[in-house]
Amino acid sequence: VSAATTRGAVALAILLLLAGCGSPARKRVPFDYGAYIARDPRSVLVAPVVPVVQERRASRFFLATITEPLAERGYYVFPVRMSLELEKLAGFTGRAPEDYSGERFEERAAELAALFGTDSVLFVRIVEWDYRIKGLGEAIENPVDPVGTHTVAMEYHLTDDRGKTLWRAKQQIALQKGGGNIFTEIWNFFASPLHPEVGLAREANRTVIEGQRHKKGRRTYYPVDPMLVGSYHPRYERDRARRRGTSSP
Amino acid sequence: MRWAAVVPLAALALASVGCASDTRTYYWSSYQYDLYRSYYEPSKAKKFEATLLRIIKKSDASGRKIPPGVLAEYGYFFYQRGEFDSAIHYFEREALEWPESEVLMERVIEQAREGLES
Repeated sequence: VSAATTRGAVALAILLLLAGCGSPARKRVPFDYGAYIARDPRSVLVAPVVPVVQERRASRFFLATITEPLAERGYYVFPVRMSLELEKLAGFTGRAPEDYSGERFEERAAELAALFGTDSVLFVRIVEWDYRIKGLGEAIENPVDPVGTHTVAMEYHLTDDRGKTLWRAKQQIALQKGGGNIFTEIWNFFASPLHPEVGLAREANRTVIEGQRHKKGRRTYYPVDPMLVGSYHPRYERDRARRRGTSSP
Repeated sequence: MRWAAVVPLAALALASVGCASDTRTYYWSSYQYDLYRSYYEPSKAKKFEATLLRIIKKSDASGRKIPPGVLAEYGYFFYQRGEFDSAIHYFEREALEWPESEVLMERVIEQAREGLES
């Protein structure tokens, strides 16, 4: 089999996968909340964000928009700016992504939990954060081109204080650029040298935590299994009673 | 370039304000926007500090619970400047308001006390 054929097959597979993700008829396996319900965490520490994307500041920008939705969901959220400073002092930042995978990952969760005294740790991987145009499976660096999309994609992984998985979710939000609307063009003209992704990250965080699912304007949200409400949420007692009965959120 | 910076930031600020009329539990002021701004331009950290104080004052005045982490975050600004008395004051308030923070607050209060003695 030639290399070109293999590449073609891979590209086709990716296209098929992408098509599958966009289809609302796709059957989803609902997330198993068993461990989450059993642990019922009261506090969340947002771990140092694992740097997967090129934009090095993305993780910092992301941190600015995660506290509010987590707190509004009913959790105690450790102060992110202070936590990052303490993590720096304790040598948690500047580690390689491999240091947050497999067995080491459980170790990290336990170390962080011991340092902060938290019930749970939220690990986030930013897998996409860019303003590049995409064509034929290739991302081309071209921030001034008005055609294309802004995209952010994040993977969320909540563990208990020993690294056991409580909740996992992905969120991806794409904002179509261009399209002839004069306001859009003005926005893009001013926004492109900066970071419209921060606004998208804010929406990604909010919608993945609350589990909002809809299509709004030119933004597409993907269905997700939300976080359960925490102990400071007005709906907590009611939800917890219901969960005990059916063991689903 | 000056204006290029202002427009998206203003939009983010407006977006934050837009949420103020909804059913949120806490008063956040411009928390997200100012934290983002402090990462974007480190010289704006003072603005974030002022916003934290505004959240504390306004929450107190209206009898609402102060959002998690805000008292600790504010106290840490004092800690970093070596103003350990004020730092301890806010760390203690955080621990009182949010028992979940006790382990961490006890640790930083101890560090601040060591700072006082040296």
